[in-house]
Amino acid sequence: MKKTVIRVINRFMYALGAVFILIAIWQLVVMFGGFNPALLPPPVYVFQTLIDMTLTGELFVHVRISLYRFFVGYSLAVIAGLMAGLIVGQVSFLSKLVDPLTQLLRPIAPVAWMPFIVLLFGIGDMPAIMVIFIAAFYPVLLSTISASKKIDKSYLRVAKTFEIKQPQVFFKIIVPAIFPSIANGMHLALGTAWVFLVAGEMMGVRSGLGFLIMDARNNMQSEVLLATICVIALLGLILDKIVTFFEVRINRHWGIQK
Amino acid sequence: MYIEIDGVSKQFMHNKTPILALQNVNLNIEKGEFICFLGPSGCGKTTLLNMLAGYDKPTSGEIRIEGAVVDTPSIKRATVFQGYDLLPWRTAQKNVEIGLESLDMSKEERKTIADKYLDMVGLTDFANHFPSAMSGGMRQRVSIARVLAVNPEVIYMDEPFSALDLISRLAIQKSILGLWRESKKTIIFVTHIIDEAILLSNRIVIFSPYPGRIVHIIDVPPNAKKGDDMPEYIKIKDEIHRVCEISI
Ligand SMILES: Nc1ncnc2c1ncn2[C@@H]1O[C@H](COP(=O)(O)OP(=O)(O)OP(=O)(O)O)[C@@H](O)[C@H]1O
Ligand SMILES: [Mg+2]
Repeated sequence: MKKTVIRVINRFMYALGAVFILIAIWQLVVMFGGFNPALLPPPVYVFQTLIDMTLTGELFVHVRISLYRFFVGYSLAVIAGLMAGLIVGQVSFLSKLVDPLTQLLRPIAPVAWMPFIVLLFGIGDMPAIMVIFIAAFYPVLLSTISASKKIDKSYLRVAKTFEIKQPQVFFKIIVPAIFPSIANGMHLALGTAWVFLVAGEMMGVRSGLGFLIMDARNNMQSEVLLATICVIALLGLILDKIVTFFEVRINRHWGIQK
Repeated sequence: MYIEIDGVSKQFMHNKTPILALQNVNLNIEKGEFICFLGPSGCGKTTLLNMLAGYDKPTSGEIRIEGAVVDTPSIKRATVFQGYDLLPWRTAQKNVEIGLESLDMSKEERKTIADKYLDMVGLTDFANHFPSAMSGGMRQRVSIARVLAVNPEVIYMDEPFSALDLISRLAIQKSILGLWRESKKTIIFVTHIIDEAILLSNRIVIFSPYPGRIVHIIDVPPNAKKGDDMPEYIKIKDEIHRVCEISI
């Protein structure tokens, strides 16, 4: 117990050190890089902007709408990816069909669908949600399919030994057996989808962190731009930590050591 | 005859070369017998057990139980596998209960039965542990309890005590022997430890490898189980050694 606390503190110190180095480099570039300070503001100024944005409540509004879009898109992707993955993983001819299909569609950047989605659904929350959905869908789908294809044979043998019938085999053996892989896929999907949040909000909406970035650019407010980037990074980190927390717990439970 | 193994051969293909794992095995087993399969690694003990339990089919020949050809596993003939295949997402108790869930019984009945067999394998205190928090020997015992819990007519065990220390091994040997005497279940038990075979079984079937076949069958008189200084014990041990030296 004591050891883990020390380890956590240790890791935290390293993370703090890394941030400090980054800010130091930034400060040095500002001082000796010769850029226009209006275009590349110093860290202190950006930090001040960040506090101002927080105090006026402006930031909170955008963060909330972004998180809302993100969670809707992400949750739908997880549900759809899981269901499709579980079905496809069980039926071998389906997986033969889906495999080339995903290989064909996956390389298309989610943002590339954007104009098309806007045409179909109009502007508003939908395009951003869809882009996040597309980004998160493939990791969940693919990890679910591959996990259900390589379930440990001995688990299935347990089902045979004790005459466990469908649908119990599915719920008692298959789903829990691939649970760690599902968690891993969800983790991957979270990171991927978060990357596309900003892209999804750059068109067709007048709110959210992506909009804030575009708006700051249009108004030449570099400090707002950088402050928003900091917020996006921080939120991404927090989300990742939350998922990692659950993933580690699941893996420990399942006896998987990383 | 209860179980008939009738001219059974099994061939595997490995990189396009055939491996004869078992060649023309014949054996009849009465109801209530405790049979030990004894033999060196690779002589086809697991292969034969898999076919007896219905996980695999002979390449030629036939296995019948009560006259019916065995073609699928059944909860009435449960197997403790070599290498303990517990479900990592279930606690020891829940692992023991998995087979009971296929039977018609209430939650309380399941728990009562699971408790009984966990106690028998000496793991009452570990009922709520997950497999990842148990030693190899403990997991093996859970997997034995899991099979005993469903009260099968035939029990197949493939080196079920291999990961156990000497003391827990002696204790569980005693429990299994007691269970067998009480319930008159048919038990087929794989081991490569001669003492264990003499202590447990009423007949020892000795296999030799390449190709796997039965080379000798020895009846174990009750007196042989009374200790390693009994003349019956010494006689059987000598006989097994002699057979093994000649054929293996
Ligand atoms: N699925 C398989 N494919 C190919 N060869 C196999 C397969 N299963 C078993 N064999 C071969 O059949 C032979 C007998 O194997 P088996 O597992 O029955 O031995 P065993 O007597 O149980 O040995 P051990 O005491 O080590 O468990 C071995 O030569 C093995 O390589
Ligand atoms: Mg074996």
